[in-house]
Amino acid sequence: MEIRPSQAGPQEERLEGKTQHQDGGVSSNSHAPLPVDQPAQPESSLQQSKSVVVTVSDPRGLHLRSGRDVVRTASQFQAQITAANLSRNSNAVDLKSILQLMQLQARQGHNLQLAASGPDADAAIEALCSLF
Amino acid sequence: MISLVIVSHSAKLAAGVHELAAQMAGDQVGISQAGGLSDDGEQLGTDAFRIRSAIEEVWCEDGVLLLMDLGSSVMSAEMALEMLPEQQRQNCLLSNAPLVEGAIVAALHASLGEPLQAVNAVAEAALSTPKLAGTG
Amino acid sequence: MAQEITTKQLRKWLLVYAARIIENEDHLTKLDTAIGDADHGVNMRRGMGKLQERLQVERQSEDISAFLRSVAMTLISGVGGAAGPLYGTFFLRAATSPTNGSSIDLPQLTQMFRYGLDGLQQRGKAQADDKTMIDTIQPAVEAMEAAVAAHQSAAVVLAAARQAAHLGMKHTIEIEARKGRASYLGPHSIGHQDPGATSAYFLFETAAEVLTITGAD
Repeated sequence: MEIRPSQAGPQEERLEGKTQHQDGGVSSNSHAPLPVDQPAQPESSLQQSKSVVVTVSDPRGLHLRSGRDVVRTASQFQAQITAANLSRNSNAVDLKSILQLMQLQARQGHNLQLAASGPDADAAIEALCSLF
Repeated sequence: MISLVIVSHSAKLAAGVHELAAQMAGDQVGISQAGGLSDDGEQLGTDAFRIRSAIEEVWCEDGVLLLMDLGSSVMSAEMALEMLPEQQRQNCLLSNAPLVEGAIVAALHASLGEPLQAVNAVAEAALSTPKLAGTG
Repeated sequence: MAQEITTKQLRKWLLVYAARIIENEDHLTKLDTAIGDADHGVNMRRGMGKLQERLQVERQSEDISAFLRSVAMTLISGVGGAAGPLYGTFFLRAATSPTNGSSIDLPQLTQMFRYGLDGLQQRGKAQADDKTMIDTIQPAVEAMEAAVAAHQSAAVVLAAARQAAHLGMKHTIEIEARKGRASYLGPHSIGHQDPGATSAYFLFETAAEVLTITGAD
């Protein structure tokens, strides 16, 4: 397993200029900037914490089927992953729960803040970003 | 990978929930349904024999989770379990989860390869997950 | 000298029971409309129609356990609602009680009802005074057990059962429902007779009419 240097604290990156995917699903920002690595901190080298904001581009919003893919992807990681709908001022919900994901009531154009913490947080966020 | 059985008083409701669950699960998860009374299934009601057949249809060693609508579905499902041989019954579990939400959640988590008790736990968590944001 | 009851008599009993339920469909519907979802009459009538068909074609079944199992299966598939699994369980469990093959004596008949009652309580998880069919069947079985212990005849035992069942059924008018849909009504369920207790009463009413006649066809 690759151990990346940890980040000192939650980083937030604004993902702008999203492109619509052809398939009409929840589209990702394929140009999401990679996180800037911070100097390694040996005592917490296994813990990563990362946060990004993505915009929902699917005209149908975040629906059951696209939610399924998000939960499937999130479940592959050990990191705790949450999402909050900034456009609705919602609380953060567990991204590994389809029912909590549906609570976000995310429509097209809504901004969702994804936050992950755990040994594979970076990879989790990277993988999830490709779904929005 | 565990299997799911959808139990409802209505054959149409069972088929609809089955359809939703199948979409969440992909095609790796065995899902069967027992809706309505015997014969044409057009009469509303639950029938322990139909439920038993539905269990037998998808039974596997990893286990079978039964999701029911309400009322006599529960009693009929209990009866169906009692009719099974002990060795099959051991791997079957009645879920306390609400039917629609429970089936969606269970199908998804079953497809992730989670074990029976774990799948049931997330499905039953639907009982305390409000639909509307900000009401929890 | 012990009086024996044959499969033939039990078959006759359940045919009379089925007819009695069908006659009382409207009555059961009315009772269930007041405190339930108004489907007990139609559910029972449908199940009894299936039972009549089954009993017509299955005349050859001599073994009492096999006969009772067949009755149970017909009710499970034919009644619907909560009454299907409940009556089904009653007969399924009754089928496991000891018999002499194609006949039972009075203590065995009493035990058969006791087995059915125990199964019913496990299935429905209802106790006495919950305003359910248990309120009819439990006192009836207890009355039978007491009469059998006192070495009474079949006629006396079954008359005692019928009387106790009737009192139990009427008692459901006075109490508040704690099981089933009627329990949603809370105190408003008081003043109404329980439909399940009523359909169960007919089991004992018809048993008293039919099972005391030896050699019934």
